[in-house]
Amino acid sequence: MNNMTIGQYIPGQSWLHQLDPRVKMLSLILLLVSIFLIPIQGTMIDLSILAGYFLLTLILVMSSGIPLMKVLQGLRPILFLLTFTVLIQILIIRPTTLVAISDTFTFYLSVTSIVAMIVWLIFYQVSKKWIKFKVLYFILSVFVVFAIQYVLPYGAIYQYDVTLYEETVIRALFIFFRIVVIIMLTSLLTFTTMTTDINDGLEGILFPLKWVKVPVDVLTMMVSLTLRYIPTLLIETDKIMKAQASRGVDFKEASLKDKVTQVISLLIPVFVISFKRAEDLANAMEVRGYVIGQKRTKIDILKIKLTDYIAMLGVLLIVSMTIFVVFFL
Amino acid sequence: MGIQFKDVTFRYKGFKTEYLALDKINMEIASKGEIIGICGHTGSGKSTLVQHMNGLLQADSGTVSVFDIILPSKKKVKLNTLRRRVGLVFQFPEYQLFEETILKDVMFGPKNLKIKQEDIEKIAKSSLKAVGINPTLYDQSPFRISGGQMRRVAIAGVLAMQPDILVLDEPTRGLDPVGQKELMKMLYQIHVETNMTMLIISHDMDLLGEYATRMVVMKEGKKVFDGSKDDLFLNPEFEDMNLDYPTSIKVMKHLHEKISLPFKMLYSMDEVVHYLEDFTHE
Repeated sequence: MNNMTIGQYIPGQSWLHQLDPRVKMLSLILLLVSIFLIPIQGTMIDLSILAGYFLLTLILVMSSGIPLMKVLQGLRPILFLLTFTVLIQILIIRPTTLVAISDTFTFYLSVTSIVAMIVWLIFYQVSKKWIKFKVLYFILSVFVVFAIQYVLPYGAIYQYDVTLYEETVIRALFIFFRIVVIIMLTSLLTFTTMTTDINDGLEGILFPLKWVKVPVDVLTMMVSLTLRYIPTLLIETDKIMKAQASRGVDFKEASLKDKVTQVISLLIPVFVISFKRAEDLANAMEVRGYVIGQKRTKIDILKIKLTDYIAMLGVLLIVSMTIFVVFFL
Repeated sequence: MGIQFKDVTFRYKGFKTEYLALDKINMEIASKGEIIGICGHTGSGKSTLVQHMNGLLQADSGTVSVFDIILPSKKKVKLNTLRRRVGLVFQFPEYQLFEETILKDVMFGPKNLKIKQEDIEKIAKSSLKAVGINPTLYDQSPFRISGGQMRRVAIAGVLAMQPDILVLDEPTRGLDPVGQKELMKMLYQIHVETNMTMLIISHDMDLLGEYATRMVVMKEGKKVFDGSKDDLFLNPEFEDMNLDYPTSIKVMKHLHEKISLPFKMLYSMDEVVHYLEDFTHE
């Protein structure tokens, strides 16, 4: 509990780690915007621009010294979404130019195939505990579901044809790689930047909002205090949980009605403690001269270094090249 | 049968780090008649030790036997029964209060144990009486009373589980001197009436010296002393345990050195005063 890390920062010494957080965040925003500028028309040019971005992301990951597997793990939560979008693209979307690159396959929803699919899905749910490569196993099981529909036409209820067209396959690949690149770039930022640095960077980037009277420094102070207090409150919650467990609360096995009281027995004390902590913190800050809206100096002043200029220039070059290729070629 | 520790070792596991909190602890605690003082430096493993007594933590190696239930066990054990028999009062227990009224809060523990409704209220009232809370306060919110009273209500909440052994983690911490004395007197009264074993973690040697019948000293996860008060304070290795003598013993030692008054182990200032009075009368 004591050395829990918030966020996903992985300590390191690479140039990406040392880059100014403002530059990093600005670059990320610019890169994401330019990725979305690439039109999705299903042509090879678009796909190759995206492939360039993918390559760039890979180079960035390599140079950051963070294991590629770690970055790819960020894709796990959206694996389902990824598979789903690719399937929709291939199965549903009708292309404008009908260039078939495969024969037409006929799939059957039949008595036999439905039973086989249910059996397979149950088997998948049970067996996935013991499989090490869960992502590969998931993709394999999706493939098996379609294979079952192809090979078991007996007792057919409904049937549908699927043909692979060049355009839909390219579109599916395009969307797939777009999501992958976006997730990888974003997680690269969180892997190489501490939460405090992200906060400072945010303050630096949002400073123009001060001109329209948005209290940027107050907002970022709120964010940093919130981040600071997550581990503290978790420790307090753990203590209260133990105290209530000593009073006979069994958080694991209890009826739904009991669970409600049990959650209340946890929530109210934590609520009371967080108010008390907030009050103490406010007093401590005031005692040390914190006044809302007053100008504050920082212990670490962000300084733009040569590498920051080079990185920023590189990003601007990439973005303008993308814009040039997309709009003027 | 009380609690037995056999070669208990426990580590806190963090991210790539481990912290040895208990190192091969062996001890026995009877269920009746003892007041055991547990002392030691911050981080010496006192709180970890007591959390093993009701199954909140379970040993990495070795076993803890609590009223013939052996932990860690391969079979599924109802930890609830175990937590009923060993009541654990944490540091700053007032933070665990949450109900609308004081009486309801004390009733929370027995309710979890599925005791009959009429009995619950009876038990709750008797435990509130034992900690000296006035019946007029029963329907008040537990957040509107003083800190000392809140702590008493919280202790009543654990007493209402009707434990055989009561463990208190720094019960007097954060109270004013009068409040500390009153709380200890109250706990002693409960001990005298029920004869239940109490374990008290404390840094206050005056307090432990006055009430404890047995002392356990922890240092860096090891049990370095277990025995009577007299043995502890006359122990030649006492200086290495990072502990202080109770004020009464310090006074007696000083008087012995300066005016060569015969030394006697006395554990409260009242006893010292009586001793001096008797001495001058003779």
